[in-house]
Amino acid sequence: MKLVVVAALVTVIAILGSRLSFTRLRLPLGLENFFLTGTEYVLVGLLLGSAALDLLDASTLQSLHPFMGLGLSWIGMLFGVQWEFKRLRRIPPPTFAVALLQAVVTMIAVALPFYLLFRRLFAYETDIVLICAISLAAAASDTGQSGLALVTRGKEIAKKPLVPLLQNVSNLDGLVGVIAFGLVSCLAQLHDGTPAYQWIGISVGLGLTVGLLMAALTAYRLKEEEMLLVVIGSIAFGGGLALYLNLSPLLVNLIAGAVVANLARSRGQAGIRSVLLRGERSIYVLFLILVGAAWQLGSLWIFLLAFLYLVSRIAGKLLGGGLASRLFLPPSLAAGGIGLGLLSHGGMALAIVVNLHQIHRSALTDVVISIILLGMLVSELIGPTLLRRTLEQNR
Amino acid sequence: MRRAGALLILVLLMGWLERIPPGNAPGAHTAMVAGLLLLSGYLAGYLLAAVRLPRITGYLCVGLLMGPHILGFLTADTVAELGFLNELAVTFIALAAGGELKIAELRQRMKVILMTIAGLTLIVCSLVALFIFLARPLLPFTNAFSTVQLLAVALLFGVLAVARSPSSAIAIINECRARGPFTEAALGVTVAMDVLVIIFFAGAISFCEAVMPPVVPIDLGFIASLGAEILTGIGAGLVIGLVLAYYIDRVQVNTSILLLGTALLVTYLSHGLGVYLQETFAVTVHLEPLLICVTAGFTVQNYSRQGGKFIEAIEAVSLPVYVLFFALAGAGLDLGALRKTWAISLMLVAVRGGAIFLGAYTGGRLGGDPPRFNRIAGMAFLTQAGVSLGLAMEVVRRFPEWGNDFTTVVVAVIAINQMIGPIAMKQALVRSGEAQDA
Repeated sequence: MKLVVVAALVTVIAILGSRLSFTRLRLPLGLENFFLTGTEYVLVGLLLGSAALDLLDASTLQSLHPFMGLGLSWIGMLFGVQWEFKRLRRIPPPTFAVALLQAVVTMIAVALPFYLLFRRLFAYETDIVLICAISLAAAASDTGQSGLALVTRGKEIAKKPLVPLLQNVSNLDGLVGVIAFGLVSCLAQLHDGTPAYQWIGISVGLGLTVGLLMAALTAYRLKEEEMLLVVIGSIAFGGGLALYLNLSPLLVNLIAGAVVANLARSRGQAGIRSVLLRGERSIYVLFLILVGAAWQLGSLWIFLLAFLYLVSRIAGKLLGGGLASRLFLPPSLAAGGIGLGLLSHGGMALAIVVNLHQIHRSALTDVVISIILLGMLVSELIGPTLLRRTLEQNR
Repeated sequence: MRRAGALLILVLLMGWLERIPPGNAPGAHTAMVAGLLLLSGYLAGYLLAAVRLPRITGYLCVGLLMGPHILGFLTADTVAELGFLNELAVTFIALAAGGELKIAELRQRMKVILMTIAGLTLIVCSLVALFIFLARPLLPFTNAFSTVQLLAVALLFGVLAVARSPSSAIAIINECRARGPFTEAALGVTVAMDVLVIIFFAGAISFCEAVMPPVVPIDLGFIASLGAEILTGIGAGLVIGLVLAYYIDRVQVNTSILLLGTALLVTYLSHGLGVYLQETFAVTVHLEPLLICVTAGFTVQNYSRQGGKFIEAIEAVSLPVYVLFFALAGAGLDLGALRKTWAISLMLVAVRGGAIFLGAYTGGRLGGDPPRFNRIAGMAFLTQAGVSLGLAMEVVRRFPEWGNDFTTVVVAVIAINQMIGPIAMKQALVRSGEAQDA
């Protein structure tokens, strides 16, 4: 009974929230970005969760886990349908190199200190600590696009030559994070000792199968409600299957989405995109609320870890961005590096750590979620200002 | 061909998955099974539609195939876990049924509807009861009953035989895009009888309690409380309907999700209120969510200008709801019960079917329907599900000594009717000439 009432309440908040948020408000840049990305719903979730009102208690959240899985899969597929080779070919090759290098350097800058710290602070097996550290790093590598959209919307600054580069880089680096996490979720520790390469093969195979199924089914002229059924059914099936096997629904659905983007007929692609986009905001708000409710703040040490996370992420972005600019970009384009322009946190970061929490639940994953949430709150506040400064310095 | 291939791939994938030890992610299996049922049900429905069978038969068959009795991809526990989807679907379909009822058209067909209800109720109930009375040797659990006790049990069978399945009816009508006087009467009768059967059942079970040990004298107060419950249900439905109409008029966004949420909330709040009143004040109140939702849908359609948008919002999400609902119903079909009682069940299905044809024919004739409608009317009323199952469970609760044997037969009969009912109904709509998309 409580579950249904709470589920209804959360759904109402999600629906209304998707209407009210993600719009521009007259606020200082950081705060405006905060509301533009819907980050406030994490705090709404925190309020509804066991930390405050206890409406979304542990058992209610447990019952809502299938929806969390569905949300992850939805985000994965929505991300995947962007990867159309025809479109990717239009991106200049150095952009790929920049995105990859800065993402990898950021991952190393976060993974290394946190691997050592987690090993020292938590008595978990090496593999589990490695999985958590790499998941945190994968989340750190992702850059949100809202800050860029906010800073450049309708302004002269939007004409700066760095803007398309940052747009592409922030879009591409999410892929690095999801793939890194997807590979980590295949580690033997999570699968009773079965070699990781088998699970990598299974993840890719599942993604291809679900994508090909969708492409085949949408080859016919489908009515709107049929398209809805095919999308929801495929997402639930692919995501459920991945979670059932302790794999990443993000990666499986990302692959499925990419298959759709490249192999489905254009009519089918458009239909699938339209369904995914229609539910995007509500599902994201729902997702943020559930994550907020599951947030266990724990001790004050978390704040210190979050601070360390922010420092190492910023260092990684600066170093990676600077190195990549020097190696792959003409000096005229990004003389001062691009790292400070990539500090906004994307929703994908949250999705990665929630996915980690679903396939491996422990006190350590609770800590990882707390670190990301705190990191995200701060990044959304400071990211746009630093991004604007980067763009202003760009000639 | 491509769809058949896709269905095969899904089945093979699940077959392969069965061999792999599952992970520990909560809700993964539920999400996977829900996705599987949606996709495979949709595909099977499409394949059956190609041979002019109703799509919902495809959904049912997929559920049966994947369910605990055949392939076992869904265990009984999984079916129970997905029970909330079932409850959501039942009330959502009730909203749709209410929305399809239009006063202006019903008024024109009122005489036929009333006569058909009378014909079906009297003839089906009495012929089925008579059959049970005569078929006593095939029902060992009645051996120890006196004649009056046997009569009471026969009456219970008779009342349950009157119940039908509005969900199947509305799904078939939507699938065929059927519109016209025959369809209107069939839907009106089906929805009305779903409410009436609860009243008849209350009477029959009270009679049963009065003649079965330990004897409980007939309490006529139940009629008053039943009346109050029905009136409360109608009142609640009216209010909900007006609120929904206001929302559709003023807010106009995410109406489909709101309707799904309303259906779910009505289900749980009516049950929850009953439990609360029982625990707190020791008062037994049973609010019928189906009645509330039918009334709400009826209110939006007939007492506001939002009927068109309401139906549009329902149709936008109805396909996944139907597929899941009927696939789960298929998975829940008790083949074990059918195996145990196939002889009596088949006879009962035949008697019920014959009685329905006779009752519908008589009602239609008295109501002034043309012979071409009367000859096929019975086919539209064979479906049976939901309510009968719920009422049969009530018999188990009140008469644990023989209720299980009683319910086994009822469940087996429902299983057969659930498979043949939709096919017959689609045929009826096609033959009436009102199916636009057959």
